[in-house]
Amino acid sequence: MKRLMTLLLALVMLLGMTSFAEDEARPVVTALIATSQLPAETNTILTELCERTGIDFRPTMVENTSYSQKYNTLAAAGTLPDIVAFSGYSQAMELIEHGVLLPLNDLLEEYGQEIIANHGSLLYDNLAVVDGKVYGLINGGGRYNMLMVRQDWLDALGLDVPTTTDEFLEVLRAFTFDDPDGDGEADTLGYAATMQFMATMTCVLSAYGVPYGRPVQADGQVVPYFMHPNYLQAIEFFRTMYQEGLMEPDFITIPNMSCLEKLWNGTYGFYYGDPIGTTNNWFPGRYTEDPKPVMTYTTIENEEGVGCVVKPVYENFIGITSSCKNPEAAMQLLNYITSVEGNQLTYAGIEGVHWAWKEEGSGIVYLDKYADSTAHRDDGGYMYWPCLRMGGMERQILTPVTQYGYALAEEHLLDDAYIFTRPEVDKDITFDSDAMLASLIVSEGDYEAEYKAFIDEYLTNGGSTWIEEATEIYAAEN
Amino acid sequence: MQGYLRQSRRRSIKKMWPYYLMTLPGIAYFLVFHYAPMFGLIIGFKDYSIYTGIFESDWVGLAVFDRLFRLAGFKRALRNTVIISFYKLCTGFPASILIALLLNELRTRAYSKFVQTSLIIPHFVSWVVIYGLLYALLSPNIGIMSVVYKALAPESAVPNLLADKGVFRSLLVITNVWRNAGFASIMYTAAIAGIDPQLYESAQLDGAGRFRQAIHVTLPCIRTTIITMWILRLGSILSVDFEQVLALQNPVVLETGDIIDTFVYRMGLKEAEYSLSTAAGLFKSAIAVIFVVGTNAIVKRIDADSALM
Repeated sequence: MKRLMTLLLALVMLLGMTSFAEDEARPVVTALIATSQLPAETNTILTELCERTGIDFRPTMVENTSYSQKYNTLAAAGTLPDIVAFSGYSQAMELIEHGVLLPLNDLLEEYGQEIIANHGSLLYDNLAVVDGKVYGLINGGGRYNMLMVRQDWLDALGLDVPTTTDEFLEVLRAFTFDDPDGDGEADTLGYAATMQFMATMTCVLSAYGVPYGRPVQADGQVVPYFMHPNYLQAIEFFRTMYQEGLMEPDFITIPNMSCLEKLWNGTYGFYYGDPIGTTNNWFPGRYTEDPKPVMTYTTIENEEGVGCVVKPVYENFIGITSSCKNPEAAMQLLNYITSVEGNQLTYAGIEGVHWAWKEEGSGIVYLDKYADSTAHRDDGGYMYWPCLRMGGMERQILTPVTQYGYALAEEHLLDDAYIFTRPEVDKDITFDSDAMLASLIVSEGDYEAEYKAFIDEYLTNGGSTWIEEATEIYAAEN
Repeated sequence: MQGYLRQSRRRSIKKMWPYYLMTLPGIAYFLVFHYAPMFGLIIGFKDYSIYTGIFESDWVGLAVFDRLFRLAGFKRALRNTVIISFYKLCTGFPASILIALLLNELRTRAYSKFVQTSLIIPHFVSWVVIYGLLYALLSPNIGIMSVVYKALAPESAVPNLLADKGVFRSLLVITNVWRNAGFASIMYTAAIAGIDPQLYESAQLDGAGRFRQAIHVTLPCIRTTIITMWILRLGSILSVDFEQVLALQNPVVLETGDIIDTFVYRMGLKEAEYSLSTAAGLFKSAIAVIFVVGTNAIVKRIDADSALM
């Protein structure tokens, strides 16, 4: 008996060592990933990803708003993970100049065939390519924000989908005061807005041809969007909405999640955001009304008909850092995630566990508890670069209304004067345009005079130099 | 003489070595967490990049400070910091003394303890939670105030006090007093407890009422404590409780509510401008040292016993 026990013990130890040795043999790949909802530290999809790739993938997940803070801290400590995200030409150049990123060409040739096949010419023609060397892979992008309107509310009130600013205002009033949900209570609001998710604030600007965050051309110069000639008209519209109580009155302080909860429980008639969320990923799971809301999309244009949607730019990348100990494994991991199989896993999870096809190619249905996207994300769904594959699963499972939203967006793109390089003086400008926008909307004084004072302050404190530099950069880049 | 002192010191160490040993963790704490990080101040004099590191970054002398003082955002933050700190000093400091004086007048021991505990507890509530309470009170959307407002004046719009730059500093001051004054009064309460009761009895014999006793006995007796606290408080003249301001801040109130600490946080951690934020922090510390040393020197001239050094 004693011998048997000893033998068993030895066997168990041997097995343990074998499994330990297997773990040891797996190359470790680390990454810093931003997300809107943190998943469980160990979750089914991450475990499955490690199993399928044979890589010990150890991502550090951070909230979107904390990403730059976490990244800067890690970079300053010299402990950047193997795979990092970066955005825009200036950051790409900074990272390349300091040797933070590895050129990926050789790795792509050897381990990145799925990426090469999927990204095509965009792989070698983007902001993160210098002298033919690829330093970053496009991660998502090509997204639009669109104005969702409650079709069921319009029908209930006998109204048409608004397309002009006047019609928009009329419908906003009806949605706020005419009980569109028919419950006899004044519990609806026209427009969802929160400063914590600035996209919700940009619809009105776009309606007046002001592309939020993008430089524009005015009087032969390149100026920031808030110096667009129509900016004050947009502010006037905002002020009407605010003063008449047609928009979220608490837009300055309401947390984004509270704003979304109000969207989901049927408080708002209009919501400006990416259709992939509004009418796709959140629908029907997160909407709590019974019956579920019927939604459609529209674009609002002022009398000049200037367009309504800010042009998307491929400016979000992921790259492999030069401190990466296993760049081959890192590339293999990214390559797998770009593959059809890997994309399905990182986007929706394990087929049969998290999701199932309705009919092949006609959308999916999330299974059991994973119909709740909170539970889905907690188990690792939509976490590990789910949009690295271009035209991947996300595009295959769009609902008809989401597809309509994107199609409409592509017909209504706004002109801007996008510049790739950040003007040198930009780092010395502490002017906060979001603060100005909010202040002008709620101002009880002469908002035009206040706007002029804001602009004077901006121009005096580096803004004039910014305009000169941006104009030169734009001329050089075009 | 020197030999005698050395021998005496050695004897003292030999006798008191357990006590000296007990100070070691404290000394280590200060060395590791307070003195060693001071080396990092060198970043304020370098064109520091997170990628090149402290040693490899170029030395630029006072160029970073020059840039800092030219930034409109810093000037605004400095102005706001001084104003808010002044408001807090004028309210929070006397409020804690007043609370201690009033607590001293309570004669029922149980009730006194109850009031004191009630005043101290808010100090242990985090600013994030306090913001949640304020939001529940003042939100124009779901706040209790909006319910009252709509009932009393249904036609007028509910003001958003959380996003009113004219109200923001008052909110900071009120919440600061609510949260901290009770806790800060502990020092004075302890000092008051040490006053000789005979002084009160003498005052009573001289016909002094409660108010006179407080003015002529209590306050003079705790004068040294008040002055010490005053000097220490001036040392943090440019520290306006970062967590409080960050929790309550929003874009609209930046004009009146952006302080040096939030400016440093934004520039340092979010924009990776470490040199700039280090320079701002160093400037703040230098001002604090000047205030402490200056105030102490003045106190020393007036009343040498009350000075710190």
